Amino acid sequence: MAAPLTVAVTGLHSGDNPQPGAAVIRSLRRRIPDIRIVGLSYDPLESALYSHGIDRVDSVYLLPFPIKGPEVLLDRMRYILKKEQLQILIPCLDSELSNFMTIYPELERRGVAAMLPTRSALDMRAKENLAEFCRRNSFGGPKTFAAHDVSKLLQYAGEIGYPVYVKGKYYEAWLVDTPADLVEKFDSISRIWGTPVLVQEALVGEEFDVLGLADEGGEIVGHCAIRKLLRTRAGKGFGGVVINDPAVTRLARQIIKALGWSGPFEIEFLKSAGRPHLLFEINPRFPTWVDFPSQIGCNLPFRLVEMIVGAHNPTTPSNCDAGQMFIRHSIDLVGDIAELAKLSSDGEYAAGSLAPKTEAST
Amino acid sequence: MLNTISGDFFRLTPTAGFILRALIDGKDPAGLADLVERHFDIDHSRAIRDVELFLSELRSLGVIAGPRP
Repeated sequence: MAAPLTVAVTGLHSGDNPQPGAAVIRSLRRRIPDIRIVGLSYDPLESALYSHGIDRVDSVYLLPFPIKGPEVLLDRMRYILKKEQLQILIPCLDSELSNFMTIYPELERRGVAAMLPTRSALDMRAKENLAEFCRRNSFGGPKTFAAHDVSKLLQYAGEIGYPVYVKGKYYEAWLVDTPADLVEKFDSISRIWGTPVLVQEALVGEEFDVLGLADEGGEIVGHCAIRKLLRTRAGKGFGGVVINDPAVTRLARQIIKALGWSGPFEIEFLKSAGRPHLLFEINPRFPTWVDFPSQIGCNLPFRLVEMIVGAHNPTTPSNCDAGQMFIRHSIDLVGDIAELAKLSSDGEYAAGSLAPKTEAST
Repeated sequence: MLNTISGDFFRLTPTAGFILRALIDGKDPAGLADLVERHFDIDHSRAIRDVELFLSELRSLGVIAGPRP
């Protein structure tokens, strides 16, 4: 019997600021029930590590934080590869991509395949470069400036006019009304995420998101477009409805082509009444809602795996029907403190032996 | 009713739903008031008003062609 396909997935926390890893695992296991998932985690309390359902991991290894750099990550991956026969890697966090891209040649030599964007494409869509990307390609976008010091950021905010959004280069966005608030948020964001910190025009409108998968020629092989219905205070989408707007689809194809993007992506647009869609963000990974289209015929994590392994008869993702909607639903996972203890002390854990006995598992 | 381009959605009254279904089925807009009058057993003047109000709203939303009010 052939060994199961083994895929490493990151971004495994599903809290109030959820990461996509658990949704990617659910999508994969829907099509490959015997898949082996190796969770790569930055924190023993990432919630998906304690799932014993469809989004469970079969083993987990702690990784060094991205700020430690690619060499430290490579050391850790060498260790993991002595214990696991990884075939595919699906990074799910913005902040780790650069390190994985740096070490990818060695991972590839060791038999691990991934579909990563080019360095220039990754940089072009970075938050601090997005305004320039929009200007060069005539895409509409909100006024955005990046600064490494607070006085410059204050100057930019004054030019835009309050209120403005203050954003970290990877995560966090706050709406601020005054220079004093801006200074406070600059401090807190730069302390965690470093600089530059961005200041962005605060536009009022509806948010539209397109998630998709592009091939190596920058062509979209599958996508799903939604209008966000529910948002958390941090702007995270907790509900959405599929739309079928040819203008949005056309714009997404133009953006991906202009970037020369390959792999998973999420494009976020903002639309005010009477104005065209403005490009808000391009995320270099699947979003947290990726398992929603997977349940209505458009399973892009599975299609990604097919692309990576070079499937001879790959699936064709369906178009998502307008009107299909999702609402996020939080549940309580049951763990055993021994699982947390093992992972915290050893930095790794093979799932199963310490799993709690629950009504669902008996 | 869902606008599949904008994602806007609306709740329809039974009369509005009936009129919209008739339009989708290709019924002549000029005959809608008669259809509404018969289906809901209401007087003709009220049927005309209900149809005109609803068509005007559909035009303003861009769902059907015609000058916006």
